[in-house]
Amino acid sequence: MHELSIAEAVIKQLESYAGTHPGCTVKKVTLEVGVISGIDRSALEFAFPLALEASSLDKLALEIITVPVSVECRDCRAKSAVDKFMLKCASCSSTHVKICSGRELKIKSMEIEEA
Amino acid sequence: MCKNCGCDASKDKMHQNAHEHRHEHGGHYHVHEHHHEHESGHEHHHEHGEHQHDHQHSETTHVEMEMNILSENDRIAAENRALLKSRGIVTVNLISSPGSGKTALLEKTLDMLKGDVPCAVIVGDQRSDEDAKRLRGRGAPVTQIETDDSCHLNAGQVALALEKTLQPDTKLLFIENVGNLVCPAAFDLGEDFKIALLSAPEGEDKPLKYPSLFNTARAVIITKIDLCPYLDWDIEKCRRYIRGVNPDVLLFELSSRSEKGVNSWISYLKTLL
Ligand SMILES: Nc1nc2c(ncn2[C@@H]2O[C@H](COP(=O)(O)OP(=O)(O)OP(=O)(O)O)[C@@H](O)[C@H]2O)c(=O)[nH]1
Ligand SMILES: [Mg+2]
Ligand SMILES: [Zn+2]
Repeated sequence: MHELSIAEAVIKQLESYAGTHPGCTVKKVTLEVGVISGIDRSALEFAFPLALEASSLDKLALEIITVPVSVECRDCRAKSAVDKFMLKCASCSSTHVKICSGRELKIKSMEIEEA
Repeated sequence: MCKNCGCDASKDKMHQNAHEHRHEHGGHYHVHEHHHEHESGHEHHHEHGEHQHDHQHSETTHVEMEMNILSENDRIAAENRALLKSRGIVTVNLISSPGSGKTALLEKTLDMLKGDVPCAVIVGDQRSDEDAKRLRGRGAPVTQIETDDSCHLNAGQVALALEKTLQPDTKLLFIENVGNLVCPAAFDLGEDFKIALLSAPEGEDKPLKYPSLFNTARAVIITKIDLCPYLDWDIEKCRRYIRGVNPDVLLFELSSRSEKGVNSWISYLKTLL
């Protein structure tokens, strides 16, 4: 359970942005969280307001975009979405696949307001 | 000064080129406003001065970030990696649930490499130095990190421990992470690779249930195989599940108690040097 440290890391970056952009207020942050990033969405949604309260920032909205697992087949080159976690090409069933998405743990964007 | 967000636009090329560069510059901010898009379709060729006059106070500005949440950890991890590389040290980050046998395997490993390969160990637990006590006296310097309430080691903690742990002749560094099957996988410490341990009593399905670790590990070690006769343990199923989430992974099956399978683990470590 490190959703709190993830929330704190997000807020630290927002604080650092606010610090270098005086007069800007962050209103909303959008995160991309991969299905196999190890982060639980609802735990993060729970932790975020707690971390926010302990920070120098005002209340702001959190949006989480869940990124599904997708793979690229090393045999047939097809790209496919993966159901559950058996990493397998949907087109030829090969297990020689490379993970293309699903591990994301990213701050995608923010909405800011200027004074 | 950029009127959109107050940053120094002249230093930030992303402002002119936001969309083209968004995936390549994790560390930079770039900015565009929604109404720019409406005016000019999806193209993005405004000058920064031109919207000054119609910029309303309550307007929100969209800022593309595209940066890793853990970028600060990743930055320190990269420094650790560079330092370890420059000293020719191979580093493995051992991760498993609590009690899977990380320390037991390290005890055996240090004993078997003693006098042959100069090793060092950094071990993380939330509290106590029980593991460090078990690992000392086996020919390698051992540093215990207490993470307090944190469920994983981070790169900063390791950076501090490196200074006091590494010896001039160190060749192989083991980092035993805090016992946890989920969180340590997300934190790069600067290791060459992660190794996941799975003890037979935990059950064959763990790789499916905790893919974030098992699919990032270079090798998976199935431990405590001496206990298999007492379990409904289906080794084939376990192998299949592990390969299911990580097709190219190296697999070891061993017991630190009976020492079965330990030799091939030791030989593997020597091939890394
Ligand atoms: N039978 C058997 N027991 C083992 C083996 N390896 C470890 N154990 C036992 O399993 C228990 C936990 O082992 P540790 O080495 O402390 O496990 P760990 O992964 O370091 O645990 P944490 O550091 O707390 O996460 C101990 O009682 C060990 O003696 C093994 O190969 N066979
Ligand atoms: Mg241990
Ligand atoms: Zn295929």
